[in-house]
Amino acid sequence: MKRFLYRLTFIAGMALVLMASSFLFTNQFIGKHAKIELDKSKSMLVIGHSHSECAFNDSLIVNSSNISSSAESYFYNYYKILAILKQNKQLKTVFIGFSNNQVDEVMDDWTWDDRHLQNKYKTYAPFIDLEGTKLLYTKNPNGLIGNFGASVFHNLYVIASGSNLTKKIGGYLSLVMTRPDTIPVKEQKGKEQYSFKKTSAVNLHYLKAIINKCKAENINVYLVRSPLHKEWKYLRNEQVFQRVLRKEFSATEFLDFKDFPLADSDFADSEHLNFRGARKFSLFFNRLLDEKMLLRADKEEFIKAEILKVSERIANGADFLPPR
Amino acid sequence: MLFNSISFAFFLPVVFVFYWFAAKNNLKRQNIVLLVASYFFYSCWDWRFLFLLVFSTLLDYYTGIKMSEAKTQKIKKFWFWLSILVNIGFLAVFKYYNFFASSFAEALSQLGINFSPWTLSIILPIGISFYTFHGLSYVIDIYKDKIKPERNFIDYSLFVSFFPLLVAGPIERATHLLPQIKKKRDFSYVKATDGMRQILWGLFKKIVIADHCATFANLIFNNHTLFPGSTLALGALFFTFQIYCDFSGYSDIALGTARLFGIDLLRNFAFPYFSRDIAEFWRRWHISLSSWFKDYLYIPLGGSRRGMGIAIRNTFIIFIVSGFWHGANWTFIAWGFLNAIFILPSVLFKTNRNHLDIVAAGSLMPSFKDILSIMLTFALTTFAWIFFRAESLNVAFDYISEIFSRSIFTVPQFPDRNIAMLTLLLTFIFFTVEWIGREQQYAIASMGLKWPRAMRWFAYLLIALGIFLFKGDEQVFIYFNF
Repeated sequence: MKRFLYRLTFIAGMALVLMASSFLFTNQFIGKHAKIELDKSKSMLVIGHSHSECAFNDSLIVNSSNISSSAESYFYNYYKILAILKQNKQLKTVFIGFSNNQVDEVMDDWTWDDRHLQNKYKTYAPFIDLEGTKLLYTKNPNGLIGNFGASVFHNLYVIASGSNLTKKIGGYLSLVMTRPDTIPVKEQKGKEQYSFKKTSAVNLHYLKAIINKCKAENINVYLVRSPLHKEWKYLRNEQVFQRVLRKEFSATEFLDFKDFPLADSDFADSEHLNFRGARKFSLFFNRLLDEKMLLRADKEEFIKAEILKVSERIANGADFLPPR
Repeated sequence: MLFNSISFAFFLPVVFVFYWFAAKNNLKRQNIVLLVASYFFYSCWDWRFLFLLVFSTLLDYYTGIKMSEAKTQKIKKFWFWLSILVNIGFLAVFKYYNFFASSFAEALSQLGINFSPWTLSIILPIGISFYTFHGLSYVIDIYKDKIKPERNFIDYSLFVSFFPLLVAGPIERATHLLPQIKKKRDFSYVKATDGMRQILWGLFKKIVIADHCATFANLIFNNHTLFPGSTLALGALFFTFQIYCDFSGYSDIALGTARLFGIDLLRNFAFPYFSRDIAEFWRRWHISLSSWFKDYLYIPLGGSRRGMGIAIRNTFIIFIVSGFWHGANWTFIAWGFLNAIFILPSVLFKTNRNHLDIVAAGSLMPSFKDILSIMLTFALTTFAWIFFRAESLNVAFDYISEIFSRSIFTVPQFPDRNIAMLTLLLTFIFFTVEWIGREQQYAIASMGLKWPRAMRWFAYLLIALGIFLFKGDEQVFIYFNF
């Protein structure tokens, strides 16, 4: 018995040491040497989850890079932006996608449930600090520990491919689906299922952290809500969303494009634009930037007025944007 | 509490220490420790169903004693049928009621009659198919006077609830497990190290191979309308590897864990994908279930001794029932039926006992004839697995028709081709190791036993590191659904 226990403890101990050291070493290496180099000629950045990922076609918005990524809470956005700002001093403006579901407690799952940890932790493990690791460990120790190996493997893969993370951390996603006929049906089900219970304090905490970091780096930061279909179930928490905006983020400007006029056929589903919708919205957004929207004091009124103009143009059968 | 979870990694050593130290040299204490641990293990899934498990245990314990004390055959039959009906009743309610209700409603709707059946919103108690069959085999063996009833309730409860086999088998027999439970276990270094080795291999199968294959199998099956036939064929292949590695991996962990406590469980898998015909496959796949059906259904129905017609009928019955045992869906019944069709030639021509030996025993390479037989058997089982995995018969037929269309000749599509290639490479390495170790209880049973200790331990570390690095996206054990 003693012989068995000694030998088992020795082998298990060796295995643990090997695993821990591979985890620490590869994370350190990636943390120090990973390249996240955006186009140096682009000074604007878009970050967020799938809404901004699908809405902002950065090839149509001059001077911008979109590094949004699906199913990514502000926790991961925060560590991503820390790494990006270190290597991309050319950035002067950051647009943070801010949508109704991002105030909801569902974002807690996006941060630490098994599925999202499996998806996100391996990419961001080298950048997550002790505080972030403690949070994940407190909320889902099994899930966190279970993903150490995956993060080592991912790190080795990244190291083997030259430690370039630029294309692995997000980017514009062109969706080709169109489901106009399913939107009401899908959201009818959604309406029956969704009711707001509470906000995600953690997610909002990390949003503040992103904003504070940008401001500390003298970067202009804006919260942006991309176009949404009126049937999207999370719009039911609009009052809560506005309250959070007023109370927690009153010092940060909010650019609201929720009501940008798009047809059902411009949506992939009730919350994501397909490539057509993204094209229209991105060209519109680019036009507003051209017209110095960011320098105006009355941004909210300006955006509303421009959206109204688009609606009128569409109603009159004209193209959604006037020619230059 | 999954076998591959952190919580189990803490649970097992605690039970081990209590068992071998606190309960040292005392049979009663050993069994109590295991029983308490087993009930704790089960309650971690859902404590409410613990009452069902205990009730089922009490029922079979009591009816077993009552049968042996019965003064007349009539009374004996009464207790026998009470146990059978209550056990099957539990399965019928928890597992099959909704299926029958909705199938009945659909049949009526085909006749133009609209009927909305009342359905039950209940969760399937985990392991019910397994522990119910434990109890049934015990009761049937007593009825047939094969065994005497167990009068020690703790011993009997442990037989039903022993945690390594509680949620997904193997389906044990009272004649095999009870004698071990009734005998004090002494620590055996050889048994314990062998158990650890089998656990390690089971974890590798499940975490590395099964979970990686599952990612692609799920992606392809769940979106089958988006992929060409070539990708769907690969999806079927991934599922074939997934279900084997998932289930046999679980069984390896179960057997290895039991061996840590000095208990040997029935072997459940004997390298089934190296079978040369379907009959051999069914002697090597989920052995505890197929032998259960053979002993308690096929033989009592007459087996193959009452003429060819009866033999064919019985073959179809056990395969369809076996399919139905897996789940309340027509796809499982279709899977069972298909396997009956596949085995029919060997029943008709009486070649079902042709391959009782291990393929290419004693040599590294099989003969060309064996290779062809293995490939054909593998192809047939993979084809049948499509029904097993598909959500419905329509999906299965769509899936198959796309495979056998011109799109089979296109290049397979994957969102992550590198990981798919890595998965296939790991699976190839895995099956190579399985092939080399096919003459043993499990692939690495005697791996390195003749090597220097340092080299052997290095090999174990390599496997452990492989599990750590190549861990797939976590999936629940497939057979937990049954």
